[in-house]
Amino acid sequence: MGGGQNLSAGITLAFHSYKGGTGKTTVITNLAANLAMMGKRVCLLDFDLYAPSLTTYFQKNPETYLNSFLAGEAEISEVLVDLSPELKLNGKLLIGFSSPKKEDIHEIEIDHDMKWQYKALKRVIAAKKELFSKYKIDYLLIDTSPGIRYWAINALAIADVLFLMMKLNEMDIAGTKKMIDEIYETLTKFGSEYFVILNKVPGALPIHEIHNNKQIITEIENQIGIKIIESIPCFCEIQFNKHEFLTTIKKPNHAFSERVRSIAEKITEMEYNAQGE
Amino acid sequence: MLRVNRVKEVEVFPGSSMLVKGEIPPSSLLLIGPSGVGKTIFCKHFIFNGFLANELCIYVNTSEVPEEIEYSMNSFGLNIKPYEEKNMIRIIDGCSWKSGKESSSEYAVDSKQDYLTAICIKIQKAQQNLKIRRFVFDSISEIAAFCEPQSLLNTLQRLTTTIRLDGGKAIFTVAAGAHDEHFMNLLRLTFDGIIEMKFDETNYETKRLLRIFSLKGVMHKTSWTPFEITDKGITIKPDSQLRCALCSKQIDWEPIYATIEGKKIPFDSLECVNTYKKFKNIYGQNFE
Repeated sequence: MGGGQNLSAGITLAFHSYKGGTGKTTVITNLAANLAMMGKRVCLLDFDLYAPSLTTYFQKNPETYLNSFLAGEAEISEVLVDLSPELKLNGKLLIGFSSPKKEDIHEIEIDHDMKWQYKALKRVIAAKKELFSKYKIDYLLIDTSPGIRYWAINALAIADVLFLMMKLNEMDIAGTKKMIDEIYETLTKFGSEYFVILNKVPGALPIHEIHNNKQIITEIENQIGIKIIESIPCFCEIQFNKHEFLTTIKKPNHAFSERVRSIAEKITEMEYNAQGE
Repeated sequence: MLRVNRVKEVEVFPGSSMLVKGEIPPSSLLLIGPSGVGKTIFCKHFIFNGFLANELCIYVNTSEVPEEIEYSMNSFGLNIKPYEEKNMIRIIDGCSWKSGKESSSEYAVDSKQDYLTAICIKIQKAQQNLKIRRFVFDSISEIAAFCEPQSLLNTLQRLTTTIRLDGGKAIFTVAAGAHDEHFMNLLRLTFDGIIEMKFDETNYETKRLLRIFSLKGVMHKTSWTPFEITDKGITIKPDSQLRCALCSKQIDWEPIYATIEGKKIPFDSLECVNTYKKFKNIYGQNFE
């Protein structure tokens, strides 16, 4: 897996999907924790501004949200919350939460003109540089809104590597194909790379056998014209858990954790490839 | 909930983040400039920045007694008292002996010995049981008046080599125009880098300028950069107000120009060029 143009000190990774419910947030939070467990310095930003969920996932009510940062009312340093000590991680896990309050979501969605949005976007780009230069992070992970929405596209455009999460159903496959043609291909012209992660793949019992099912993966790869870098089975105990919380830390031997670890390893290889280029 | 404190970047010396790209390796720098241009305050900033980076320092000063050093640093907002109390600085007082007054420093130069030897003895004493990261010798010109040039050069060569091999950073000052060319050429060869300061008096206005003439092992700007001495000490004035069209960051190094829709646009990095092109491609003309 190539690293693309690794022009920052680290790599920015955006997680996106055509439809909601693909498991983006579960995968990105576990992946962020896994990379930090490996000793990496990681920052996870919740750019799912229209339906934020990291406050619920991490059970946090921070004083300052990304929304204030976008509005120019706070610096990025005021937004970041360091979860590494309480999670006992070897590396660093900094999180920027976005506000789940109805009025804040409404404000982002409706209240501002394009001039405001561009200004906010430039603040994000400057903050990204600050995260790599001052906070010395290795990876910036961005959770995005599903579909083709303003802040989802912005997050994709500022990322070096895009991970497109997809479920195995026709609607998701067709929508993903459309997004690849209309958005992703444009971004790759200017250095971005993207990969597909299949999630919630059915028929996962016995769980280890799913990965021998290369035929399905090859068929989908041919259909969407892009390599699938990981296929994560559907685990009822994760999907229907009232509050799944960092399975990768709590149950490191779980098959889901193994899959997350596999993605994390591919990301770290990406770094080494980029350095060797 | 733990919050991340903002990381304050500490410059190695005033303007180093703007003038040097990357980390400055262990090295000894020769600071050359005329009297009154700001060499001593530059050194004091270098020492104080060392404190902020938790680095211990030896300060050889031949023209000020410790009380004067403390007073002058305080007047520029560099309060060294707490660091003195933590024993982070050892001042080698090379001045008090000239007046015959007793020094408050335990590393004061003994008037019974020759000046250079006396200073070397005190440096050795100050280095004991201390992992020195910063070293300032201000100034070579004062010592040169009391000893043979060759023995001074030999001593400086030993000192600079030891400091570099121990992983430290040092600044030695010398007055411009106070020595012959032969001595200055040999002196320049002794150091890993040279910083020059000068006055510019064009247009009836006196400006101070500095440049990094050379610095081994790291990329650096070599152009003259203006600086001011204010009540906050030395302030380096950037010579460029150009900002990146995407991230709005001031462009300290050479801008990268990209021609987009017929316009020549400055950027801070290739990454910004590519990201700008992505947005232009997505949002079209509306994106500015």
